[in-house]
Amino acid sequence: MAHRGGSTIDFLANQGLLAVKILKFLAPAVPMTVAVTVLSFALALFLGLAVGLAQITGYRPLVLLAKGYVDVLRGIPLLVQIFFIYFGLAGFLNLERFAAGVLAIGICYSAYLAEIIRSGIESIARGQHEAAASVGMSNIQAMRYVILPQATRVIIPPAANEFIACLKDSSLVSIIGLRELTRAGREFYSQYFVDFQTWLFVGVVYLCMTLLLTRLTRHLERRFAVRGFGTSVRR
Amino acid sequence: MSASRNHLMVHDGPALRARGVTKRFGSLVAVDSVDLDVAVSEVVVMLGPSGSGKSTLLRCFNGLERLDAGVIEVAGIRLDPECDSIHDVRARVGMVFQQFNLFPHLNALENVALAPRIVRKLSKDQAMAEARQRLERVGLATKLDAYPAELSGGQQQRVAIARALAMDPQVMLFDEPTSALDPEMIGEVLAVMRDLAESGMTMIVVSHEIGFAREVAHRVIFLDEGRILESGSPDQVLSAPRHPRAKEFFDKVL
Repeated sequence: MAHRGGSTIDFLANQGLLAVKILKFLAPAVPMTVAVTVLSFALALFLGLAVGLAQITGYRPLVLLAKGYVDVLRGIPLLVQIFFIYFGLAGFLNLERFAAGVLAIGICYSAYLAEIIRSGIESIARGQHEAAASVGMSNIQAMRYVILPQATRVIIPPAANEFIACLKDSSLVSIIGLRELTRAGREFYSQYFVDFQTWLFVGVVYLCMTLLLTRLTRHLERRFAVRGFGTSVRR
Repeated sequence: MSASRNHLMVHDGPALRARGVTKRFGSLVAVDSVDLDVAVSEVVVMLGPSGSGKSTLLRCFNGLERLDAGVIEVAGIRLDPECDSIHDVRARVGMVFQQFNLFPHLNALENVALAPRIVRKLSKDQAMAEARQRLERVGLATKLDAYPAELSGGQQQRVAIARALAMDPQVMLFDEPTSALDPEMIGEVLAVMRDLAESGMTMIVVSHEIGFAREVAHRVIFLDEGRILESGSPDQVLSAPRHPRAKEFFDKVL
C-alpha cells in the first residue's frame, strides 16, 4: 500500500473512511446470505433426516436409493450442482435465482447431513433398542423417545460444522446473480477498484458470522448435555 | 392393547409356555428345541456354562431373538415377532439386562415413567406418581432426579427393575442381573428380586448366583449346548445332579 502523498494520519483516516464505506455497502447483502444459509440448511436437515433414517430401515430398495442419493450428491462439486439446477434444469422448471440457490445448497448438504445423522443413530448402543423394545415400545416410539434424543447429542457438533460450511458455501450462489455478501463485494470492487480492502472486509464479515455460529453451537451442546454422561459440560 | 395387563388376569395355563424353541446363529444351534412351562408365581433359575444358550433362550421369551422354530406363549398369547402384537406381548414381559441399559438421557423417574406414558398412555402426572412409588419400592426414594451416570451399578439395576415393573408385567426375565456389579452391590439387587419373588411375581432368572437359586428358586434348570439337561428343585439339581455335564459344572462352581 503506497502512500499516495499526504501524511500517515491522512492515510489512516482515508483507510478508515474506506472501511466504513465498504461495510455500509456490504451490510444490505448480509440478510440475503443469512436467508440462503438458514433456508438451505433447514431443507438439508429435513432431507438429511429422511435419507439418514431411510438408510437404517433395513428395507433394501429404500436403503440402496438413500445410499445412491448420498454417493451421487457427495461426488459432484456444489458449484456444478448450482449450475445444473439453475441453468441445466431451466428448460423444465424455471426457478428463481433464490429458489435455485437454496434448493442446490439444501440438497447438496442433505447428503452430508444424512451421513452424520445415520452414523449418529448407529452410534447408540444396541442395548438401548432392546431396552426400548422390551418395555413394549414400537420401533417408531423407540426412535423418537430413546434413540434420537441420544443421537442428537452426537449429531450436534458435526452438524454445526456443516452449518458453518453451509454459510461459507452460500457465497457460491453469487455466481448465479443472487445479491448476497460475495456478490456485493464484487460490485463494490467493480465500482471502486480497491481489491485488497474489499475482499479483506468481505472476509471479516463472514468471519464475524461464523464466529457467532461457533458460539451458538457451544450453547446447543451445553443445552443437550446430560449430567455426568459422556461429557464434561454441565447444564 | 385391549386385554388386561393385570397379572391376576384369569388364565388357566402356565404364565409362559415354550414348545420346540430353536434358535440358530449361522451353523451354531444356540437353543435346541427347548420345551418349558413356567407356572404363575413360579421362580425359575437357569444355570449353565457360558455359551450354553441360557441368555439366548431368555431373549427368545420376549421376542428379542427371532425363533427359527417353535412356539412361545405368554399368558396364553402367542408371541410372534413378525406380528405387530409383539409390542403388546413384550409389554407383559419385563426384562432386566446384565448391562442395565437404562436410558442415559433421562433421570431415574423419567426412565421408569416413559413406557407407562407412551405405551400404556397414562397421563404424565399419573405415570410420574406411579414411577415414584416403584422407585420407593426398590429403595431409591432419594434418587428420583439422578441420571443413570450418577448412580452406582446396584442403583442402576434397581432402577432397571422398577422400569420393567412399571408395565405391570406377568413375567419378569432377568439376564444375569448381577454379573456386571461390584460384589458389595450384588446383595441390594438380589434383595429386591427376593421381595419380588415373595410378592408372587413369575420370574425366570439367568444367573450365576447359586445362593440365590438355592434360597429363592422353586425350580433350577441346567442348560448346556442349547438343551435343558436338568430340571428340578434347587436341592435336587444343585446337590444331586444326574447328568454328567451338570455334575462337572456344579463341581467347579460350588
